[in-house]
Amino acid sequence: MGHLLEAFSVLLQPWPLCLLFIGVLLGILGGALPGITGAMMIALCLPLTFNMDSTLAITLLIGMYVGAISGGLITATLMRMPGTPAAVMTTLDGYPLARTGQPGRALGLGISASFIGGLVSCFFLVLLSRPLADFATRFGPFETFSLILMALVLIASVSQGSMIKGLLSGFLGMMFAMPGVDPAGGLPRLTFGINEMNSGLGLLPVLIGVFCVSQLISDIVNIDVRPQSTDVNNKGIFMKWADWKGQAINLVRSSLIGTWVGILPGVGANIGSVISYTAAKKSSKTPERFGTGSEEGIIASEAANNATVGGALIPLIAMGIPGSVIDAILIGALMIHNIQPGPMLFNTNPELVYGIMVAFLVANIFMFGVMIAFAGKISKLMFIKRAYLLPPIMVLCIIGSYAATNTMFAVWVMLIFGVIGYFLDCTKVPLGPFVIGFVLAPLAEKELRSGLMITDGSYAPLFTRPLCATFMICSILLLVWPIFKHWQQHQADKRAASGT
Amino acid sequence: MSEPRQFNKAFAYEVGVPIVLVVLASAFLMDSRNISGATFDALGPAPIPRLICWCVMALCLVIIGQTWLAHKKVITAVDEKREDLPKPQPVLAMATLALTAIYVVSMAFRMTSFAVATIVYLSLTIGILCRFSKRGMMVAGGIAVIMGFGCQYLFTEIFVIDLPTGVE
Repeated sequence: MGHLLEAFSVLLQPWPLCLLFIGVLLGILGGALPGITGAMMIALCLPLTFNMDSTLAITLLIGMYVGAISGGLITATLMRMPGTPAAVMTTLDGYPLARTGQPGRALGLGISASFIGGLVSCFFLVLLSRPLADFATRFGPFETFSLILMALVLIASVSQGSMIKGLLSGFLGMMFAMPGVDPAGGLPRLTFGINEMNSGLGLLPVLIGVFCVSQLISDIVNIDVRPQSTDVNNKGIFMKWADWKGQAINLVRSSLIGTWVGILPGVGANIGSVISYTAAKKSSKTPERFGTGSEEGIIASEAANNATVGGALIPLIAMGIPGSVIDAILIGALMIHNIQPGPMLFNTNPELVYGIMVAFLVANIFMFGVMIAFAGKISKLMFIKRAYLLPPIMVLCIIGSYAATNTMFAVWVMLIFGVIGYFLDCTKVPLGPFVIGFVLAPLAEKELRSGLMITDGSYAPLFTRPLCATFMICSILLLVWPIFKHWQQHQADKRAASGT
Repeated sequence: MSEPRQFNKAFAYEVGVPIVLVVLASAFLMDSRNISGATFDALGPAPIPRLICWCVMALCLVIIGQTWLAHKKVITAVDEKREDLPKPQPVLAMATLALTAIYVVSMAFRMTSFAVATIVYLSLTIGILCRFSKRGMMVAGGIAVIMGFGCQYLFTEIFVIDLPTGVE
C-alpha cells in the first residue's frame, strides 16, 4: 500500500501527468485513425523514451496503450471503420445507433463502458499482480520454460484464422530471434557472416517493420478507400442514471470477461470483445436487437476490450509474459531500459510496478475526459488524406529504427521485416504470435538450457514436477483441442451432407 | 476474366509466401552448420534453432498442401469477399518502397544531410500518392519542409537522438 501511495505522489506531478495526457491523446488519435494501430504508435514512440526515466517512459506508453484501445470506438461508431481490431464488435451496434440520429449516445455508451472496463481491470491488476508474482518466484527454469511454451501454444491456437498459420507465425518469430549471441555460450550464431548481426536483428527494427511498415504498405495499396461518415453531435453523450442501473450487470460481466481474457497470454482485446458480446447477446432479453443498434452490444464490446488492457498487464508484471502484442512491445521497452520483466520486478523496481498501476488508472480517467470532450472533433481527422500522413510516418519509422543502434543496418532490417509482415498479412498469417515468439524465444531457450545444466541433460522434470506437468498438459490440450473440434465439425458437415 | 486472376493472386500468396519461408528457413538451417558445438550445457547452441527451422518448414509445407487441396474453396472465398471497393494500388506501394530505399541509401552513403534528403523524399512520395495534383504538390512541399527541418531540430536538440547523417 505504501508503494502504491508513493507511486501516486510520483505520478501526480505536472510532468508525468503531462506525459500521460500526451500518451492518451496520441493513443486515441492512433486508435481512431484506420490504418494506424496502437501497436504502431507505441513502436514508433519507443525511441522517444530512450533518454527518459524508465517509470516516465512506461507511463507514456501505458497512456498510449489505453488511448489506442479506446480510440477505435470513435471511427467504429461514426464511420463503420474500426480504428483497431478491438473495436470491430462495436461497429455492429455503434454505427446503426449513430445512424438513427443518436451518435452522441452511441459514443457516450462506448466511452463510459470503456472507462468502467478500465477501472474494473485496474482493480484486478492491483489485487492479483503481487500474489501472482510471489507465486511465480517459486518457478525454476523448467517451470518458466513450460509456462512460456504454454503461452506460445495458446497464442497460436486462439489467434484469428487457422491455427497452423498462428503456429507458423510464432515459429517464424522464434526463428528470427535466434541470430545473435547464444544466451548460454556467449558466441555468435546464425549471423551469415554479417558483423552487425552479432547482436541479433534487434527488437525495435523488427517491431517497427512488422507493425508499422507492413501497415503503411497495406495502407498505400488501399489508399483510395474513403470513409463514410454520420453527423456528429454530443447529445446524450453522458449516460443517465437509468442507463447505469439497467446496464450494471452487463458492464460488470463484460469487464470481468475482458480482464480474464486479457490475463491469458496473447489473446488480446479483439477476442475479449467478441466473447463478451456473445455472452451479452445470450443473456439479453432482446437478443434480436444485437446488430441493429443495441446499447447492450456497444457496452459489452467496449467494456471488455478496455478491460483486457488491465488484465494483460497482470502476467506482464507478475511473470514477464506478454498478454498481448502491445504488452510484448512494453516488454521490449523495459528491456531497452535494462529492466528484466518478471516476478522479481516487485523487489527490484517496485516504483515501476506501482507506477504502471497508477498510470493505468490515471490514463483511464484522462481517456474518459478526452473522449467525452473531443470524440466528435477527432472523428473529423479521418478525412485527412492518407497521402499526406503515410510518408511522414515512414520517415518516423526510419528515425525510430535507426535510433536504436545508430546503424543503417537496423533500417534495412526494418524495411525487410515490413515487406515480410505485409506478405504474411496477405497470406492471413496473424502477426501477433510472430512478435510474441520473437520476444519469448530467447527467454525460453535460456531457461531450458539452464534447467538442463542443473539436471545434467535430463528432460524428466518437465513431466515430473507438478507445475511443469500441468503447463505441459495444458499445452498439449490447447494444441489438440482445435484439431479435435475441426474434426468434429468435419464429421458433422459430412453427416449433414449425406442427410440431404 | 477477373475470376481466374483473383484466384491466381490468392493462390500465389498462399503458396508463394510459404515457399519463400521454406527457403529462408533452409538458409538458417544451412548456416546453423557453422555453429560451434562445444558449450557448457547438454543441449548446445544449435539444436533449438534447427528444431525451429524444421518446424517452420513443416508448417509451410502443410499450408502449401492445404491450399493445393482446397484451391476451389479459395475461388469461392475470394469471390464472396469482392465488394465495390476501390482498386488496390500495388504500383504506388512499390514506388514508395523504391523511393524509401533510395532515401535510405542516400543517407547510408552520406550523400546528403538528413533534412535535405527528407524534404526531397517526402515531396516525391506525397506527390506520387497524390498523383501529382497541384494542390497535393503544394501540401507535399509544406509537409516536407516542416518535417525535414522540424525532425532534425526535434530529434537532435530535444530528444537527443542521432539522425542518420547527424546534424549538418
